[in-house]
Amino acid sequence: MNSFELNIWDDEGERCTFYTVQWDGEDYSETDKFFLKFEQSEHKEELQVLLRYLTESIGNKYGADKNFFNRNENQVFGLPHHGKFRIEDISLHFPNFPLRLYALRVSNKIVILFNGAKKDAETNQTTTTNLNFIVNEANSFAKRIESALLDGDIYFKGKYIYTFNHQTEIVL
Amino acid sequence: MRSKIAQRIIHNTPKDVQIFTDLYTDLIFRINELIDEKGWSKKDLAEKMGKKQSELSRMLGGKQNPTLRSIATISAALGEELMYVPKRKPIIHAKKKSVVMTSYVNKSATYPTLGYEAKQLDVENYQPLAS
Repeated sequence: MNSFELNIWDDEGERCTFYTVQWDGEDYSETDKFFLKFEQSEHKEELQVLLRYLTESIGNKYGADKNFFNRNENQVFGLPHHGKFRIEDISLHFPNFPLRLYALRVSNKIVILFNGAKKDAETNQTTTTNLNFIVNEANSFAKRIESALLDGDIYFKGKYIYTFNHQTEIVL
Repeated sequence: MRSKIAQRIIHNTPKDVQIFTDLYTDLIFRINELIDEKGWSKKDLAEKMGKKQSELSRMLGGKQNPTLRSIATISAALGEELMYVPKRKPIIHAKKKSVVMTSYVNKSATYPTLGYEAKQLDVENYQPLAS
């Protein structure tokens, strides 16, 4: 696995900072790729709903409450469970919501967003999109981040994540 | 800071989409908050409603938006208010022009007689908060 940066994606809300991951040498973060993919698609409105949900409800109003996240055990397969962090998808209770955005909830004040995809079937394996690949990649990011947290290479305080020597530029 | 792509999408999001998302999220959060406060599970709530947990899930996020009827059923089972509808109360202005104030609590309320400050309102161009 190549190295990637852990960058702030949105910290304008009062309650929660969203981080994202960006591969070394890539123009866009994984989360920006997700939003770019659907910005002009048939799911434009759902994307707007999801973004409002993130930035206003989670980011500004309530924080990363557990009820906003959906833990699907199938989606954590492959991620060692020795730590306390698990990949989850942002849970939207809206009817038949077709998009899935994957995230690692570090605390009520910090969420790391990955990429996502359209889910058009009951399981990730039968969906016609590349959801399964996206989930596996998110698990790999989460595993690296989880290890760095457990090893003390990075730590979090309040709304932000720092390196062991208190820097905010993070490469894993 | 905020991602430029996120900024662009937020800028292009219609107001009704923002309101819908906020209302829906507030409703879901309120229900979950009340369940936690009472030390219940979703299964407990469903049982008090005389329904299965899967039926409760469908009511909140099934194939259709939850109806006012289903929200009322949940509210009755929880014994708590879930939504407030603003009430408007007309007040006669000193110059006999009507001014409308909006109250966000469903309780009777009295308002002080409008004095000098109220005359400064641009009544002709007043935009009501709710229709």
